[in-house]
Amino acid sequence: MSRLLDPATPTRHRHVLVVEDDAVNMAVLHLILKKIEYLVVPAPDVATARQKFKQHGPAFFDCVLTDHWLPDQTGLDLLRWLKVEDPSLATVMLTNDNNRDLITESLRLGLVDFLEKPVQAQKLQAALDKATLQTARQRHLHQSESALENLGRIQRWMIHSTNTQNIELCFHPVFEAGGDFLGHFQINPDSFCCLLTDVSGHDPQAAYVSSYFHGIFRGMAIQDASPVDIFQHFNRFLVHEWNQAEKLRDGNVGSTSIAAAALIINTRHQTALLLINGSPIPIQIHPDGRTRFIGENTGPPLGWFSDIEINASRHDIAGGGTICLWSDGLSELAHSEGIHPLCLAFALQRAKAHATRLPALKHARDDILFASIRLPGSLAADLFRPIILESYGGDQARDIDQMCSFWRRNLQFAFPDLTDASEHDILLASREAVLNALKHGCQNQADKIVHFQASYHPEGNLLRVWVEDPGPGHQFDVAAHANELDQQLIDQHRGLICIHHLAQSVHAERDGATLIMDFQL
Amino acid sequence: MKTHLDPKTNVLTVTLSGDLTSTSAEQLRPPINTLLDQPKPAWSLFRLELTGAKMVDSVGLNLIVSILKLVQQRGAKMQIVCANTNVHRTFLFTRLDKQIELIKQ
Repeated sequence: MSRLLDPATPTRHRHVLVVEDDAVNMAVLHLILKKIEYLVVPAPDVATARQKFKQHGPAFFDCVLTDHWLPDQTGLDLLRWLKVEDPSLATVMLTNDNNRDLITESLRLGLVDFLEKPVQAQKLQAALDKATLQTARQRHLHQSESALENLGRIQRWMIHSTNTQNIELCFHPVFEAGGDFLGHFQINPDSFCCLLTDVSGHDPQAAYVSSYFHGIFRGMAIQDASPVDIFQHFNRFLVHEWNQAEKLRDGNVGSTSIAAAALIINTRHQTALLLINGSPIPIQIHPDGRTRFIGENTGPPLGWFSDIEINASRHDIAGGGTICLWSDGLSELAHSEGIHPLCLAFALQRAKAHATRLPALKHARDDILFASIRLPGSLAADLFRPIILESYGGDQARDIDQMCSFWRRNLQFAFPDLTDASEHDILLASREAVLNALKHGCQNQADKIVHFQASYHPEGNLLRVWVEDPGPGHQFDVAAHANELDQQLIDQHRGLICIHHLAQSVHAERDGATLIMDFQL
Repeated sequence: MKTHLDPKTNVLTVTLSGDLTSTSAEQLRPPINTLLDQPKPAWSLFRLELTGAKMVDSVGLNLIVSILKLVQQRGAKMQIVCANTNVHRTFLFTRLDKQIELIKQ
């Protein structure tokens, strides 16, 4: 007879819980199972089986072998109970009853095999080996999932720990662990660094590569290595080592790459050094709210090519302001929602401030990471938050309706409670200003560009719109012109009159080549 | 664009669907000019129906002013019918209500 187990006995043998009410059958099973090296825990009914299961604990058994018809309940009842208690534990049923419904329901509950009595030793062994293997696989999978969850938890904690007084962060992971990561560290007393990475893939490998890059970058940076050299170094590592190793392992060309943005702020010299490889182009928000894309001379992601150009651009940050970095998950979701990425970032920041979750996030297909880094010398009250930042070619007047539709979608997304009148006034004034800039400032020439920006200022609940063209502008007395239009019924030049009535205030710079309109929301 | 002349009241009604903006105004200008250039049939009131418009921009306003001038040349009067509050407001702040009878539905 196989050895009856004491729950305290430590063993590495395979343990099977055998539920059989017929003493003769049980004795036969013992004999067979001993031969094939299974240690049997016997139970004559379902109640005893449950009790033995609880006594030994969920990880003890490698499989269960049960009869269907038992004195107190059925094998199916036991299967249902086990599915809740230990879903990874595989079960084999051994019965005289080959009823189709019973088989169907048992399989639905995850039964591994269904054996008819009397069973041959070989068949029994095959079924139990299969069940044991399935249990082992399920448990391994469960452990891997737990490890992944832990990894994700640590990663999220580390990212959120960069939420400091000067860095406002929105992080919305779609995957348990992945390659989107933001690191923030002091390089020396004068400089600190923000490093944002997005590694291809959404798995522990991506998380590993991301963490490895952050470690290398941090270690080399504090030893005074140039950020360009660090990017070059890691690019060579990815191309010649990591992706080669992937190729040897899988036979396919390795495809791991990193989109990275490094921002090094020097507080003494009041400059920002920026490196962009594969990441969306960041923005700099000046203290007066004007916003520009910076570091547009970007290279491809690290890991794509052996020899890549890595450019560092230096930017003046005197006076403060903000620089924003983000991963392409933000751009992708914004694109699918038909809005500007900065509008989505604004809505995410607002939702975070109100401790709510933005409904659009349920459509996200990639992790979203957005970091707003307040530059030294900035005050919280300074902060304008950009919603739309666009450039239009001078010959794009024919697209004005599409521009208006895009602005409308952004306004409705950013300000769901915006009144119909406010929306109309912002859209009509913006339309007039852009058409005026295209026609007069650019003279409808494709190579001349109109910059359009809409930003929100929380103090005073204000939306400011900038429209800037490269033209010389011209002096314009709005009040005098309005009277002239009335008296002489002139059938042109009503755009500026409209703008001055629609906006709460209008300010012109460079003789009107830059128009700044404020709207109270 | 739809036109209708009521011989009993001598009212010529032109109904525009949608917004009157830079995109639509220049397309509307030639047929409206042609209509207003015809000496007959006679009418004494030109009614512009803009009840479907949610926006009228400066190019649309300029078109309205040029229509008004042609209407006045014929010794007739002009009336605009609108439904949208924002469109009505646009006519008020550009002071077109001083020259044209404005009816808000």
